[in-house]
Order: sequence, then structure tokens, then C-alpha cells
Amino acid sequence: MALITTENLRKVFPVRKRLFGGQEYVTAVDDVSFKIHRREVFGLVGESGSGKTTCGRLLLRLLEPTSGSIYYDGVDITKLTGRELLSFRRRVQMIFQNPYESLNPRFTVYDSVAEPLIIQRIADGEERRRRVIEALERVRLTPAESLLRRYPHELSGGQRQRVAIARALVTEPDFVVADEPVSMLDVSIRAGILNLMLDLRDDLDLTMLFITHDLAVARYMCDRIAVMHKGRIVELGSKEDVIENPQHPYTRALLSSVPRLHSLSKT
Amino acid sequence: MSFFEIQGLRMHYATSRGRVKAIRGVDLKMDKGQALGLAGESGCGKTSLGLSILRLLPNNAHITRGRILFHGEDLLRKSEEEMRRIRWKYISMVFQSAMNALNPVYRVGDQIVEAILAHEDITKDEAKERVSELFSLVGLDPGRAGQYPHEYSGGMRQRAVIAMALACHPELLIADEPTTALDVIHQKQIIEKMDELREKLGMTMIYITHDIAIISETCDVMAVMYGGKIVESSKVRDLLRRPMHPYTQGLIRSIPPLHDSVGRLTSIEGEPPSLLSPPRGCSFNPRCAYSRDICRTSEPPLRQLNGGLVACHFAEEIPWP
Ligand SMILES: Nc1ncnc2c1ncn2[C@@H]1O[C@H](COP(=O)(O)OP(=O)(O)OP(=O)(O)O)[C@@H](O)[C@H]1O
Ligand SMILES: Nc1ncnc2c1ncn2[C@@H]1O[C@H](COP(=O)(O)OP(=O)(O)OP(=O)(O)O)[C@@H](O)[C@H]1O
Ligand SMILES: [Mg+2]
Ligand SMILES: [Mg+2]
Repeated sequence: MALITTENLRKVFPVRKRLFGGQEYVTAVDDVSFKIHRREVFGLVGESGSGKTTCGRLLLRLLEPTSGSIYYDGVDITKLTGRELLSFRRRVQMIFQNPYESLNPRFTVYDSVAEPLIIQRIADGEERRRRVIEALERVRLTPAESLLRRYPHELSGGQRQRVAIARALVTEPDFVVADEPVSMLDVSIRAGILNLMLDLRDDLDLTMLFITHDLAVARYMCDRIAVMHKGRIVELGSKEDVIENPQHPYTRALLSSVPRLHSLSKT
Repeated sequence: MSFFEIQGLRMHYATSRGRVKAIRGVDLKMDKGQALGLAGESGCGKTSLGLSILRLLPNNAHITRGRILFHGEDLLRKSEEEMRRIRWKYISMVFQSAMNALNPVYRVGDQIVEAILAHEDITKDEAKERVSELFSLVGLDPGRAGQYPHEYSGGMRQRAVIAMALACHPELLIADEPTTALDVIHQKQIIEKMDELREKLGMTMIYITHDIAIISETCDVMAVMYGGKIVESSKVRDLLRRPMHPYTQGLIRSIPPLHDSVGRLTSIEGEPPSLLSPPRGCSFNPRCAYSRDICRTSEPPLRQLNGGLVACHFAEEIPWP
């Protein structure tokens, strides 16, 4: 059975584009339906501004949909309140697109990664500290001890991104929305982190919505890939089909714009 | 005289646990109109280098040695007032943190108008006109200039910051991961525009990125940083055809292919070096498959080899592929 099913999901933002203009609307997500299976890595690629982040936030109910439904484990989460909503939130995590915005600037690295453990009362004392350090080491923030008391502004972009990943994974959630989680990492560290995420999928049955602009990363990570354009999913299929045999003109345009590594001799 | 040159730059951040030595002796020379691609491990000092050039480092940062020569004049000796005139107009930067570059309480378009008016003697209407052009140039709908940063998607904000950096036609552009939040179609469009500006106005560019394919498509020269130093630099073609430094080789091996399935991606074994107490000798030695005694005791200088520069004692002997 699918872990997540969305039906006709829509999100419209009211905006005022001009200084003295009237109310206008941006349709960020427009009639989107898909399923994500248990243990699946479901890729979301597509145009900048096409609604990928909005879609991810809707799935975790960080935003309320304008219309449509979202089933998680058979339950319509758009209707959850109180205790049920809390218990849903405990099972899911988000790695936000921009680690410059998502980490609390007043939290040290230790505070950021320990917070979900504290909120969920998962571990305390020495055990908590041990888990924080282990999570940091897994994302290659080493020596972890020397980073625990740093603040986000004292870290590089890729280091912040890894703190955000450690924070999301430390509680071993069931479902993660990973929004461009490795965009600021060099290819070597990135490879290590992608492998870590795949291992968690295998060992802990982690399910993921994986948003990325890097099609090679999508190919490596995902089982199926959905392509978004102007709020809609224009193509959805297995990664091989989408990348080797794209059907929609936008997907084709996307694939033909991927920068190529020139002069890398294979001989 | 070079258009732009960095000589022996050293810089650290003071922290409660000691000094984080983010730049440990960097030399760099660029001609006008050249594009340099700067790659390297996360946390190795690339952003610190960019911020040093613009003198926008945080208070706990200290430049202890070196010179940064722009048209032969040392930027490290300029007053803050002089630097303010140089920033944006002559040297500008696309910040890695798009959101930090935008003020959340002002409309995006107004911020760029203000930046232009602060440096150029033109009317507000002319500035607005230029903002519309810049928006189209980076693929943003000019009709959305009146919105606030939080109403933009991640990639839209990044494009706004690029528009702002290009607004005054700078001579030197430092672009720090400028397209990480963009789809490849917008990315291509923007890179082509930057190429155009390089040709038309002779703009010089330092392009910091983890995307080595982009470097191979846009830059003339590529430099690789590791542990606060440049460990290799060459013409892009030469470097990719025959990477000489073991770190560069490992990096290139970690690139995932688009059209082949791979079993499991490889990454470079071992831990990134601590800049609080960098390893003795070559900073890559604890992770290097070729390391010998001398690598643990003596630091290899950046030296000429095969038309490029490399900092490795045994570069001649290390095979590729
Ligand atoms: N809070 C908001 N208020 C108004 N408009 C918004 C808001 N959040 C998003 N939007 C708009 O919704 C659309 C989709 O944005 P979203 O962030 O989901 O795109 P995205 O696919 O994640 O793009 P990117 O790849 O650039 O991050 C955009 O036009 C954006 O400007
Ligand atoms: N304000 C600060 N105080 C202390 N250390 C800092 C500060 N800013 C950066 N650092 C450290 O300096 C080193 C270099 O950081 P820098 O941001 O230059 O890296 P980078 O090469 O740009 O990395 P990335 O690719 O991840 O963005 C990092 O190890 C980082 O943790
Ligand atoms: Mg987004
Ligand atoms: Mg950086």
C-alpha cells in the first residue's frame, strides 16, 4: 500500500504584486495527484518556481492546502488536529531547501541537532549527547566535538546543510521531505551523504520525497521521478523512463540543458 | 600588471576553541575577462576567499598576511569608505546565502533600485527600467518585482540576487554557488548571459561551484581548494583531462553519471581536515593512497607541472585514470 497519496492537491497564494494593484493570486500547486510507496525515494524535479517546495510543505502539513486531500498511512492528514496532528509530526521530518534560513541562528550546532530528540523525549543526558555526535559524524562533520558549540553563522554553506540533515535524521523518522538537501556539498561528501540516506532507507524503511535540480542525483537516488512545470506534474515514471525516454517536451528540454563534463577522457 | 592578483593571503577566524585557519596561503592571478572556476571540499575556505576580496568578513575574522591587488592597488589597504565605492560598482558578489543578501522587509525590486541609485547618477525611472531588464535577463517576471523575498521560491530569490550583483555592470564578479537552487534551463540561460557580459564588457569572473560540469562549460581556468589552500590549477581542459592532485582525482571520480546506472557512488575516504589544527605536511596526507614519509613532514609547494600548477610531492608518479 502507498504510504502517501495526494488527490487533486492545490495551493493558491494571495499576493499583491504591484504597489497600488488589487488582490492577485499565484497558483503554486495545481491539481497534483501522486502516490509514494513505503521505502520509496520519490523524486521531484522541475522548473524553479514550479511548486516543488510548496508541495513538500503541504505533505508535512507545514502549509494548508487550498483544496485536495493527502492521505498518510490511510489517514487524511488535512483533517488532523490536536494530539493526532502531533503524533503525525513526530513521524516526519523536513530538510529545508536553504540552510541559511532554516537553522535557528541562536542555536548552537548541538542545540539544533538535539532539539528534535528533546521535543520527542527520545533520549537524555549522555545518551542524547552520544546520538547528536553520532548524527554529526555520519554526515562527516568532524571532529564533531569541535563543532558542537558553533553557531550557524560560523559554518560554511555545506556545513550548515549537513547540520540540517543530521537534525532531520537523528530521530529516525518514517518519512522525510528532503528539499535540495545536498546542493551545497562537493561531489565527494555528497556521495557519502546520498549513500547514508539510501542505507537508512534499507535499514529503517525510510520513505523520502527527494527534491533536486540535479538530474544525475535524481537518477542515483530515486525509484520514480515526477517532473513539475508551472504547478503541475507533467511527467511521472521510473527514473530510467524519465531520463532515457522522456515524453513531455519540458522534460526533454530539461535533459538537453544539463551541463556536460567536457574533455574528461575515457581512454 | 595583472588585472587582479592575490599574493600570499592568510586569514583565520578566532573562536573559543582556537583559530580556524580558513585561508592558509593563497596565490592567484587573473587577466581581464577571464573566468576562473573554483571548486573544492565543503568548508575548505572558498566563501572566505570571496568575502576577503570584498572585505566583508565577520568581526572574528583576521587577515594576517598577503595582498589583494585590483588594478595594481591593494584592497587590504583601502579605507572602508573607499571599499564602499568599489563594492557593487567595480567588484560585486552573488552571495551563497541569497536570503542574507535580500532584506526581508523591502520589496525585491525596490532593493535593486536602491542599490543602483547608490552608485550611479541616474533617475529613479531609469533605475526601474534597468531592474525590469535585469529581471528578464535572469528569467524572472518583471511583474513580480513588487513582491517580498519570502513570496519568492528559493531559485527566484537566487535569480534576484544575481540581478542585483549584475546591476552596476561590475568589472569583477564573484559568484558563490549562484545557481544551486535553479533548474538547468534557467541555469543555462543565466550562464549564457554572464558569458555575454564577459565578452561585451570584459567582465572577469570567479565562479565558485561544486558543479564541475558547469566549470567545464563556462570557465577558462579551474582551481581546486583543499584545507585552506589551492592544491591544483590549470586550464580547464587540461585539468579535467589529466587531474594531477590525488584530491582532484578523487573529486572527479565521485561525480555521478546521468546516463549510466552506477552500483554505489564512491567518495574520498577519511575525514575532511580540521582547520583548527591542520595536519602536518600535506593537508591531504591522512586520506591519500600515495602518501609517504615526506608527505607527513613537509608541505608540498604549489609548483609548475604539465602547464599547470599542483601541490603534491609525487604528482609525476600518480597515474590517471
Ligand atoms: N508564501 C508565499 N506567498 C506567495 N507566493 C508564494 C509563497 N510561497 C511560494 N510562493 C510562490 O509559489 C510558487 C511556487 O513556489 P515554490 O517555492 O513551491 O517553488 P519551487 O518549485 O520550490 O522553486 P525553486 O526550485 O526555485 O525552489 C512561486 O511562484 C512562488 O513565488
Ligand atoms: N564566522 C566564522 N567563525 C568561525 N569559523 C568560521 C566562520 N565562518 C566560516 N568558518 C569556518 O571556516 C572554514 C571555511 O569556511 P567557508 O565558508 O569559506 O567554506 P566554503 O569553502 O565556502 O565551504 P562550502 O562549500 O561548504 O560553502 C569552515 O571550516 C567554516 O566552518
Ligand atoms: Mg524550492
Ligand atoms: Mg561557501
